[in-house]
Amino acid sequence: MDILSICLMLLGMALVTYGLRLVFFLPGVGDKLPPRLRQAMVYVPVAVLTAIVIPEVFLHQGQLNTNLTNPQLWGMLATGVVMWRSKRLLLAISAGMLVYYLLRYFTQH
Amino acid sequence: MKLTNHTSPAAMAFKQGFVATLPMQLGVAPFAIIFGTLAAPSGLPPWAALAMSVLVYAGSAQFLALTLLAASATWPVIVLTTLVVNLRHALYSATLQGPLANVPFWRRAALAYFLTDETFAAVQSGLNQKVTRIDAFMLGSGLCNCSCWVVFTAVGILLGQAVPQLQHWGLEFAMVATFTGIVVSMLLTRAQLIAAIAAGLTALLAAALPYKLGLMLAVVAGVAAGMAAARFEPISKTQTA
Repeated sequence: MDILSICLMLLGMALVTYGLRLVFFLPGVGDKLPPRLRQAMVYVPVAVLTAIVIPEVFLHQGQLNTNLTNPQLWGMLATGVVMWRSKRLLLAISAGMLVYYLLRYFTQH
Repeated sequence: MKLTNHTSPAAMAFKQGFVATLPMQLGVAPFAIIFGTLAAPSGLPPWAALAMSVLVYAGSAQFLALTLLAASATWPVIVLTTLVVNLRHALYSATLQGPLANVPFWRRAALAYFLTDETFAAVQSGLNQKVTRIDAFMLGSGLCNCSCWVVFTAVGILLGQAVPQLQHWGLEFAMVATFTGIVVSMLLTRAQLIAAIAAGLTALLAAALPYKLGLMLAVVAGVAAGMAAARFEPISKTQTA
């Protein structure tokens, strides 16, 4: 990509991201939001984050990873269970990374 | 909340926000490092990678931009994908609009820059703890998260040049762990759970579509499934979402 395109990409991404973060802080915008849209938006974070994570864990170079020793799978499950039981994010992320790296170490050696 | 004689409520809240966001840096720092490391191999020069972390400051969107760059996508496609992936930030801004309603507009406009997944999660916990100066709390959280993101992006760029093997160390799992933790903390209702399952399945089935269209399709499917499921849930439960 040439320098001009890179600059346009950076500018576009920055404007879009800041605009989305600012939009409901603008005076009067929040009050005009249709209830149905507000209701729909409740599901956006969960949907986006899950849609990013699941292919990352289950796909390897475009193919479904059916390997039961997939470290990402067990790391994700460990994070999820610890978060569900403890409600502590640091503990959950640490547990997930520990499981991930242990399994990665033992499946590669 | 303990208040000492020599600190103002704003300074206290700032510190609380900063401290509340520190644990999440365990996920943010490796994610920033892997972003910095993968930038050059994906076709993004070092100066642009650093500029992206400062100007865009959105981990998942930046990571997807690298994937798209490596697949030779054009810049409008990348900007459009950023729009879809970061739609959730509009929800965060809608959620915090009420608690920040009494803060002057220019200050809210400045705080909007810091509205990431991590800071939103921290501010929600701050609100649950009845922090009065939530604007100072959010600034503390934002500065903690943002400085970590930018500094470790730079570390990743430098490490990537020094240790080319780094991109195979599996650091991208930090993103999976952080997002999994955040998603699980949000799964308070059955409708949210169904939204997550629908989005995850659609993302898998549609992964082969070009330009991350599968991601957009998955978001639409997740939201639709969540809304459909909410109709069959008791009202008291859906309102806690």
